[in-house]
Amino acid sequence: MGLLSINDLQIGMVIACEVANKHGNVLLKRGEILNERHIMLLKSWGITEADVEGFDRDQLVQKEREELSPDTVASIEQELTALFPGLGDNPLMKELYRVVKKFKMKQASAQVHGIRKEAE
Amino acid sequence: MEFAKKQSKIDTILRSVDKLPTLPIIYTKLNQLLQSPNATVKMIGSIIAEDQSMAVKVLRLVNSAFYGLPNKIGNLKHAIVILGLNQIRTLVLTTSTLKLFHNLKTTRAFDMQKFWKHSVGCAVAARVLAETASLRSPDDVFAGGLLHDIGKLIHAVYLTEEFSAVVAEVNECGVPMVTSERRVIGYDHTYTGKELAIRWNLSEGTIDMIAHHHLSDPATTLTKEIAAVYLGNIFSIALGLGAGGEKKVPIADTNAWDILGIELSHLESIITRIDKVFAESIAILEA
Repeated sequence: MGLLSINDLQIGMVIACEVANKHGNVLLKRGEILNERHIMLLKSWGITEADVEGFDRDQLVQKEREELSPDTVASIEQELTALFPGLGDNPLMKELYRVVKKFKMKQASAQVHGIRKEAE
Repeated sequence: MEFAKKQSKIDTILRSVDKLPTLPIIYTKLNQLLQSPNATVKMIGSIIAEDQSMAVKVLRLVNSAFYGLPNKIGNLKHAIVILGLNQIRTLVLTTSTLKLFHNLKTTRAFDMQKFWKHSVGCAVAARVLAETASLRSPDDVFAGGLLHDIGKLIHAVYLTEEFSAVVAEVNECGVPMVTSERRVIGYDHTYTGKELAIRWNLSEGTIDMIAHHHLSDPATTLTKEIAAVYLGNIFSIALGLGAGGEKKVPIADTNAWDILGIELSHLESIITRIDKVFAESIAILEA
């Protein structure tokens, strides 16, 4: 299991730990299979992450990375290294770097998919 | 040149009113009207209707995906009621500054188009942060974000040579722009921006957001509004929304994040939202 960002949750994933709102009411039970309504429900409560079976963040990053050519990944990394100064142990900057990198990879992969679709 | 002398130089620039960029009449009129307790939707509508391109933008905004209304709104008054006066004021301010930027000539050192996008990027990011932190007036924070770098504009237009030297130094050495400005010009764009904002009669809150968006004065009381603009600037640079001339993402002061009281796990959805709203805003404003 692994903690995934709300943006990465997909229909069919299985909830590994129950998700509650800020008042403690359980929104999703353990073992529940995610459908579209569930994801909307989490979003409307401002929930930002959930634990699901069989996936984790690193795996998803890895998967996205595999979809991109090594050149693309390298150029994203190069761009961000030039843009970001040494992060030190500033937790905000480390998280910002992680999120922006993930974001850029997602954009690049959406572009790849777009081109593939057009080709088909 | 000692500081007092430099200060009097910027004073001279800012005092030559005929040369100074002004906010369009429509914004001044609307702002006055919105402060009056007798303002009616009809009066606001007639001010906006005077400016066709503004009226079109109001309608486009209300009909955008952002509001998700089931029916198309074609009536200006109806649109004003739905958007609310704060939204209208923000939209007019944004459109006014866009005009202001476009009317000024771009020098080689300064890409006005990218600068304008950076300003909108910071404004959007600051507003998303303000909304997430449940601040009282996200629209005011948006305005502060939009104008945060206005001092750079004055530098680019009136201190062309010095500012070119600043841009060159930032590009070659990756130093923060304020550092280079202080060395080359004698003061940085937060100072010039503050002085301009005072002369434009902007609200005290807006002046503070412009003056302190780099948190460079340790004596400043850090408010949530200032923190939102400060971080909004950093996030927009990190995401590459337009460009304000900075070469590196400034290292964020974690106090600014802490004062907003947002958990770090929210950052990813915040960034996603900033990117989405930014794209929408640019599409509405540029159309």
